[in-house]
Amino acid sequence: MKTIRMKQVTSFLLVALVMLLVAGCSQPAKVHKVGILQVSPALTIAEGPITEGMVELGYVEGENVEYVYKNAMGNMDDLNSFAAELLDQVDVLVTIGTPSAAAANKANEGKDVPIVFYLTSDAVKLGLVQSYSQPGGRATGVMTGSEDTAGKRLEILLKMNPDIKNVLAVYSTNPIMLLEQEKLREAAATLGLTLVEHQISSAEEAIAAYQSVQPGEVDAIHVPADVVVAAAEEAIAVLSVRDQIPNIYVGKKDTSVAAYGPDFKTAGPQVAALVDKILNGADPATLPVEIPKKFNLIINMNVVEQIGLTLSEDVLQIADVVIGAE
Amino acid sequence: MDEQVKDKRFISLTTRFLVVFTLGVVLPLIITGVVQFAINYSTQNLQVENLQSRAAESVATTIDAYLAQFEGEMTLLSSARFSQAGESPDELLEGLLVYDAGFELLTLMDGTGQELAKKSHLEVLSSDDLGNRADSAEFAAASRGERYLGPIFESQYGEPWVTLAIPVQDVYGNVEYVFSADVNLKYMWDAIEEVEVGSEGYAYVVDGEGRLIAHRDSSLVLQWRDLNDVAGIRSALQGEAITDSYIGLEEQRVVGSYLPLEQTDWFVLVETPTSEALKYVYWSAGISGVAIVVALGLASWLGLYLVRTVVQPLKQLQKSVAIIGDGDLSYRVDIQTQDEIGVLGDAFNDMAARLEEIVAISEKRETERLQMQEQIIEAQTEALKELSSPIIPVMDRIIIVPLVGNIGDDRAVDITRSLLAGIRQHRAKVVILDITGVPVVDSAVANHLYKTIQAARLKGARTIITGISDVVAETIIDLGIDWGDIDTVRDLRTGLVSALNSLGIQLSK
Repeated sequence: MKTIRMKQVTSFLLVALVMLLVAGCSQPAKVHKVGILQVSPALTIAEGPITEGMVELGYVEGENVEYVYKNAMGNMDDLNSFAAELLDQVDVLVTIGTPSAAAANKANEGKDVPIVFYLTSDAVKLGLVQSYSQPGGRATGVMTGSEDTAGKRLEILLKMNPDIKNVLAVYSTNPIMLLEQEKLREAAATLGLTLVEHQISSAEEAIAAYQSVQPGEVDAIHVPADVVVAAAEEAIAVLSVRDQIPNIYVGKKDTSVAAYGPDFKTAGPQVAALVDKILNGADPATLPVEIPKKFNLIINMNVVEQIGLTLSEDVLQIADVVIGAE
Repeated sequence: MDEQVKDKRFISLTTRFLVVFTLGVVLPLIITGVVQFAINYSTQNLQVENLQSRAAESVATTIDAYLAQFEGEMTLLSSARFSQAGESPDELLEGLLVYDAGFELLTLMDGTGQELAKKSHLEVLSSDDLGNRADSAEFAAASRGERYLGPIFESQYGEPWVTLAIPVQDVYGNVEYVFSADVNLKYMWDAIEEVEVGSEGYAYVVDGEGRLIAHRDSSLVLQWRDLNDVAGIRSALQGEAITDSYIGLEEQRVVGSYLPLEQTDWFVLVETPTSEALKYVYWSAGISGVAIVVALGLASWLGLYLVRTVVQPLKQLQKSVAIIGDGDLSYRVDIQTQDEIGVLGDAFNDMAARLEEIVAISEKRETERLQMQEQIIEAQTEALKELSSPIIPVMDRIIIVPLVGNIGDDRAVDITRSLLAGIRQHRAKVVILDITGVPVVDSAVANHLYKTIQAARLKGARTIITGISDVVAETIIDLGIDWGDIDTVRDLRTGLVSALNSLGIQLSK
């Protein structure tokens, strides 16, 4: 009798111990696959803050998250096939730039993979979402609508040199660029500026457009956040130096005098937060579209000196970041 | 066992021990557990309440500071610069826009509500965009010298904005300008996120219409959904105290509290998931539960141990008593324990041994007594036999055999034997068989008597039967027995005379 009782007690204790151990051991973490789709190398700078934001939220690459990067290098056909390819293998697809978002959204028909777009134009006008507060589909994100800040960029040019009259505005045939161009025209009219416009449809045309500018024809250059125009960065730099005129971009470049656009450091984590919510089961249809918390005006004094510009104090006062300042 | 079944009130010691031990151990534990639970519950509630009220105060302070900051910046700018020559209002407004990202749109109006300057964070505005806002609520309030904080509204891209307006007065106190600003409330979210409410609790801000203004999750704010279905918010809007737990903003059960803000119709709500709020209560209840289970197990084990050491030997004793009671005095109990039960077992075995001894002695005595009794009976039977058929030699060659009592088969044989012995002994010629004392003569007796008479005749003796009663006579007739060749006379006297006569002796008178 005694031994049997001891056996029962012992086995009971063992079972309890095993149950505790089983409860204590967490299940192996799932490795989430997150795709990052880029249309061109122009915005690779925006990737870092997203993954850093993911780290802040507890995602360690190789441990519980895996990133699949695809960059179409400006080739629209590649962009479409990359979008379809990524959608087939990831849990969430992050698209950077308007063309990426549009391509992914189109390729997602029937696939229903959550998409988080970033650095896009107006998501409602693009048809990515039904409304900002209730996207209603498979896509949500952080939109930066460069068209909204176009006027602001003209204003900044004016602040750099109040004597500016003619602003060079090369734009592509991309529908979103047409929208931005329209905004630019409105702002120019308000500010009393004249736009010197050139519509192009290829990188070669873009370069040619900048090269064809006569000395003294324009007083400043507005560069849109367009993948085709971006290819003419060198031509723009040459023109700025030749005519000693300021240029302004959306995102900072090595040759940009000024850049006014979203602050990647704060907007990246916003994208990461949306990805995190989706990975935790949230439905993108109910995750409102956000706009970046912060926009930055970055002035590059090195470029300013290289060109030989004299900037007004006003613009330096309103700049968020001044590079190369003494 | 049968008795146990018959008596319904029988409760075995096993049950009693188990019940007593279980109740004795578990009841106090349950009582202390319940008391502990009640104490923990109220303590925890108090702690959560304190935690929430501190968090709410902190959020309220943050919001006040947030609004005060905008107001302060506007006041500083207006009082120092608007009235002075030098910088244009446009430049002043632009400077402020850049200085604080929370300002989305700044407008300066004169005392009539006419917009003098207007600057937006996003849009490029010109003098064509200036209008008259004399009819606006912000102008109406500010022109009376009051600060104005309007209702929350949704911006172009779905962010919560609010209009803040202050009067700019001259040295005489007249409202010279009205300075209005559209303020983006999203920068408040980060400040709120930093307010800690325990480990899982959270605070948020709701306006007077139950719309979410600030919360750590931007998505929730930007959804602009109707929050009147959240019980805590409903209570806050109706000015009622929150008494029960409810499904909170983040869709889990919470205990919540709210704090109305002083300068606005906004509320701070603080919610703590019940799982956290009552964590220690659940924890201590769990501990009590485990203790009760362990104690229950221990009490059962102790009870069973006691049963083993006390009840089992008792049952063995009970069985032994029954076996010995049934007569097996050689049965002994086997209890080896070194305690009172063991002593009792030994004493029982001693008692059984003594009993066996006593019974053996008494059985031996009984046997001896029975033997003696048998001998006596034998002797007496012998004596009685002799007495039952006496031979009386009344005269030479005449014997009288008086028979008294019933004559059975055995006795009939004895009578025959002793009669023949009497004839031989007394050389009798006449035997007088007196049956006056025989109450019943059946056919067997009659046959015996007949055979005896025939036997006597063979020995040369004549037999005369005397003393046949009426009853006997009737029986003989009824039975159809033929005693025709047997001499029967009325009584012993007549018989004796007849006997003498047959010997040739005449009795003279």
